[in-house]
Amino acid sequence: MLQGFFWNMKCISPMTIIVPDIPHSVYLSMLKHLIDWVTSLIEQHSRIDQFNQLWAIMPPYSGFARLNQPYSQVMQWSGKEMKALGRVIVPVSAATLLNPSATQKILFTDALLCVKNSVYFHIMAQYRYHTEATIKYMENLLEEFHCHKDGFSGFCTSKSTKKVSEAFKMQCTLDKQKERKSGHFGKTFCSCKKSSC
Amino acid sequence: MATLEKLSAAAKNLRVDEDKMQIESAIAQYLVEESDFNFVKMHLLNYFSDHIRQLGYLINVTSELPEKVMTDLKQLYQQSNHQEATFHILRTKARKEVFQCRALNANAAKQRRNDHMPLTKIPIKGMMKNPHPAIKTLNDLAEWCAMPKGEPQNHIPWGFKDLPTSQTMSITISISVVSTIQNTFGTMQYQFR
Repeated sequence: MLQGFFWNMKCISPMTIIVPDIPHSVYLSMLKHLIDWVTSLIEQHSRIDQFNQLWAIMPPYSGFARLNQPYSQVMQWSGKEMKALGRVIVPVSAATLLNPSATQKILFTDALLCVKNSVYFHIMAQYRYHTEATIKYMENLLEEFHCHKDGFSGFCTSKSTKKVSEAFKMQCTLDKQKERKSGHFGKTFCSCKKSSC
Repeated sequence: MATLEKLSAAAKNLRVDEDKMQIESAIAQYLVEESDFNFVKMHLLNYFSDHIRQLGYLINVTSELPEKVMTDLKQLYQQSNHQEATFHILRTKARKEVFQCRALNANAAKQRRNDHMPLTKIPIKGMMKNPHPAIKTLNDLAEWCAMPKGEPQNHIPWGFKDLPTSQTMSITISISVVSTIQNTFGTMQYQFR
């Protein structure tokens, strides 16, 4: 742990400053980020239709409220839906990422391990009895999650970075349009085969 | 230099697509370089284990319950006349819950009447008697029956094995008796590992 200024004060400990509150720190942050990363990965590899179909047909089970809609049509993420998401995300993403090509194989296995570890972590965090062993399990799961998270690194961006990238994209497209209008094209795409080109 | 007019439509489109691809790859690379997992909510997960060691399991500090109560609180405050609201909120809430409880009881009674069952639940006499008062836990019972040792749950399927019917019946009945006694009087002593 990093040594901060506050840690030397006797009345303050890091555990009491930041209270890990399950709905906000697990469901609304961890799982929400995770589903964003997973769906953007699946979208990048154009398998989002399968994901939506699988999402809608999950059968009911005790402790799991059925999700009747496909993923993209769920507008409101209340607590009930987030809980159901935690139950369902591992099998659905595993079934969606079946049969990877040779280039995708490492990426997909890493992504699945990442999903698995974080879901197990969030379930284990809600245990009502803890021993030293279960706490060790939690730490190991978190460590493994951090080992395999690199596949998601393109999608894990802050809002400011997204804004900057969009502005950058606009700028680039405008530049290219200007270039095209001014009539300067590269040699590779020149259709006339004259030597003066 | 070639101008725009000299190129065919297909070549123009190819050029536009090429530009788009270039921009997209540049943006993707930029996002990969800029993105990291170094934000507060990801960092908070590291403190879970220390929190559990010092202050107990995490459902102690969950905000789920207050948030659930909050909706009721808002609605009841709107119903009141905003003067001495605390007392009014509590009174209205208590009254509502009593009515809900009565409605549940009435519905249950109606259901029982429709199913031709007695209106009040009668405890079953035979289930409460233990024929062997010395045996109080499932492990004791297993020893008395000379069962193989193991988890208590595994003894019940063992009871249904190919034995003479009278013996099987006696074993299963005694298992059910002991388990009901344990459930009712709370003498269950599982060790949570």
